[in-house]
Amino acid sequence: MAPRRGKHLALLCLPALLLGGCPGERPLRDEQDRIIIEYWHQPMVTSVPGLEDITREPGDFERHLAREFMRRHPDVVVKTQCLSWEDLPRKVPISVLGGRPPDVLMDYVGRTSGYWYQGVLEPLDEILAGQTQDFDPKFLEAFRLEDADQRRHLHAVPLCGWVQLLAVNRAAWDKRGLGHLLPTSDNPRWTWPQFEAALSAVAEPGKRWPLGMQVASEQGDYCVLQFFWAHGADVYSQRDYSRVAINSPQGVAALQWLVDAHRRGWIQPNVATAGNSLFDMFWRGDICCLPSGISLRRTYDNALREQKVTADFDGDGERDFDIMFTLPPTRPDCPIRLPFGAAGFAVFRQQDAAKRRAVFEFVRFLSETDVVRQYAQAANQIPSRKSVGDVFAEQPDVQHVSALAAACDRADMGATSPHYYDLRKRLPPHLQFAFLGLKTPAKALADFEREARVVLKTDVRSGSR
Amino acid sequence: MNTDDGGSRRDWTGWLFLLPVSLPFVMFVLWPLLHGVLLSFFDVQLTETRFIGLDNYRALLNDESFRYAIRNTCLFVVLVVPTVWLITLTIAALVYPLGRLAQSFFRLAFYLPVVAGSVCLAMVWLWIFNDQYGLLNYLSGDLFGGRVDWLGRTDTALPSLAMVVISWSLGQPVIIFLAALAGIPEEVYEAATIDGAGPIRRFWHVTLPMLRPASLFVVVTQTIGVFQVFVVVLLLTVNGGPAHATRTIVYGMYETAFTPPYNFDYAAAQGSLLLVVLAAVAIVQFRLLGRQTHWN
Repeated sequence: MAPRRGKHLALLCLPALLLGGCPGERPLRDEQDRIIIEYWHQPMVTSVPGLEDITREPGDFERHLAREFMRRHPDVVVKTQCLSWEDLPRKVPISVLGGRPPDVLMDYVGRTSGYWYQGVLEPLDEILAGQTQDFDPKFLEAFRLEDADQRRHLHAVPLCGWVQLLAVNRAAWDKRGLGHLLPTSDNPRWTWPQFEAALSAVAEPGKRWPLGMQVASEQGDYCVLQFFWAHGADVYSQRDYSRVAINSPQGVAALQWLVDAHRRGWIQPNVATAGNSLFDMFWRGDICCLPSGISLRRTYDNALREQKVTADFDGDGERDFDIMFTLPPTRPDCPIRLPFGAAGFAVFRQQDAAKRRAVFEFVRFLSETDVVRQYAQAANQIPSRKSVGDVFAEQPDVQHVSALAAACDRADMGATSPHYYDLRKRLPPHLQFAFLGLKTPAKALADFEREARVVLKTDVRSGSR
Repeated sequence: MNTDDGGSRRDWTGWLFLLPVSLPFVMFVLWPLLHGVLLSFFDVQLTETRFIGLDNYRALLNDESFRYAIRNTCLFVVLVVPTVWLITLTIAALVYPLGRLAQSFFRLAFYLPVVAGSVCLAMVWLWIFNDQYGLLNYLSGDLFGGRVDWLGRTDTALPSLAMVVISWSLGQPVIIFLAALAGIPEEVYEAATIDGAGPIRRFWHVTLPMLRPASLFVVVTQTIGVFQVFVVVLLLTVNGGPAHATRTIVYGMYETAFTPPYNFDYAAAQGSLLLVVLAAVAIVQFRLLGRQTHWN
């Protein structure tokens, strides 16, 4: 009888064992009584200048930083985790729901702001106390968000960022003797007729499309919205995030221009479905320019290593690639406005005072001038701290265009508005309808506005629909 | 009903034997299912949850992308289920008279895509459909008026995906039909032959009716499977595009729940609705096909 009872007992214990395997909250300290800090981050950098040998893979640099911090603070252990671009928007929210978020997250401001509005982040003003004058005010402005009481706080510590420019492979024009149609490195500005003439000159139906564009996913909004701002349209008007302003005469004109450009063969045919293949088309010379940040030069270096760069415009078997960054063209009387994106360090809510202090110390360490410089150099991005100095000293053209870009107004795409992500992913299908000729630009934008109105009625904090 | 001690013990032992199967079922299927339905009546945020009644279902009625998802899913079912049924039945009927070795070969050949893994197959199809260097455009030449962006046009994207789903859905039905054909008694065919029935009449009046249980199984399982089509949309399209042309209900659920702003409750409402639709379709199919089915 006893063995049978034992078996029954074992069977009944099974659920308890299974449930016991489910994780609870993260442990505060390890067996050596050291505070454990969990640091999750973007796969932002490899080949960090000066540390090339030990930073070959994404995540290597963060492991190096963790070791350095632990050397300074032996009572702390930092565990790093490099998340892929696909995992960043999935794994972090699920970890928050599961009650096991990381302590520190380095991510894009458009995502960290979402966690702020959900009320799961610590305000970080005290981390930068006394140091704010060393930070670029445009970064601080982007990272200061309202709390439930309408008070503005630093929701994350800015690291580095980028502005959207136009990357041109000038070899596509030069090799056909059309280089005179392009702006010069000294004055990288276009007039609108000059831009259209340059596109028209190198377009070859079915073979070469001068302008790369994608409206397949929300990732393409930086590309496509550039042309809305160029026509004087706004996504939001005067920081009023309670309604979208894109369905305006200027917005319709912008979309109409894009649709017409697509029909004329100036934009590649797969605009509605192109994802990362857009870059491959650029490397192959199928498209000749595309909206991009200056970090494209790092991407180009990687593409070169992977032997993806095969553009050959004159058929001589030699690679024809010469990247030039220009300011984006705008219609007459429309000022140049550039979208700004940035990454920063966010801290999830901490219950334990000692751990909170340690986590804040870690973020202070991550935002030291030297660390910010290393990140900015490796990612070819604009550093948030003035004391970093000029990271583009070896790229005079980038230095020049960055200085010009810095003087331009920032375009407001609502990246830190409460409904940013929801609206961001709802726009592409409407643009696809227009590009595929299934709706007129006016109808497509009107439908988007109607959908946006429903979303904007939702209170993000309470979530009521 | 057992009144003596031995009977009661037998009852308990029976339940305990069921425990290893039913416990995981309850924990990982039934409970999540009920929890999902329950979730659809709440507003779930990262930090708080509150009851909102039927708000999510009301929002679904006005959701244009959900309407596209329903339309596309139904189109998928209409394109895939009858085609799979017809193709697999034909294949089984052609393969069955062959020798044992040939049968084994064809069983293996058609079942291989099932074990190959949908992700690998999707990658191969992605290459086949590529508008720049894809095999399909290479083979079709100018048949369709030049290079076709199969996955980039609203009129070709969904049929293209349906073709992929059909290609990897043949294995199991072929095996089921072959097994069912082997189960038809030879005497029935002999009697039909004596009555003067030719091969076509024998197939129509003997084989097809005798395959009703297998057909019912194939149709019901295929319908349920195709209603839940997801991987092919995720891997071969960008967000169910272009212009919602390939968005399906389950893909929409995934996107709603697992991409920002993570509306788990709204996705649960979509899932609950799918549950009701699937149950209704299965009941209708059982009523229509099961009416004259003789189960052995």
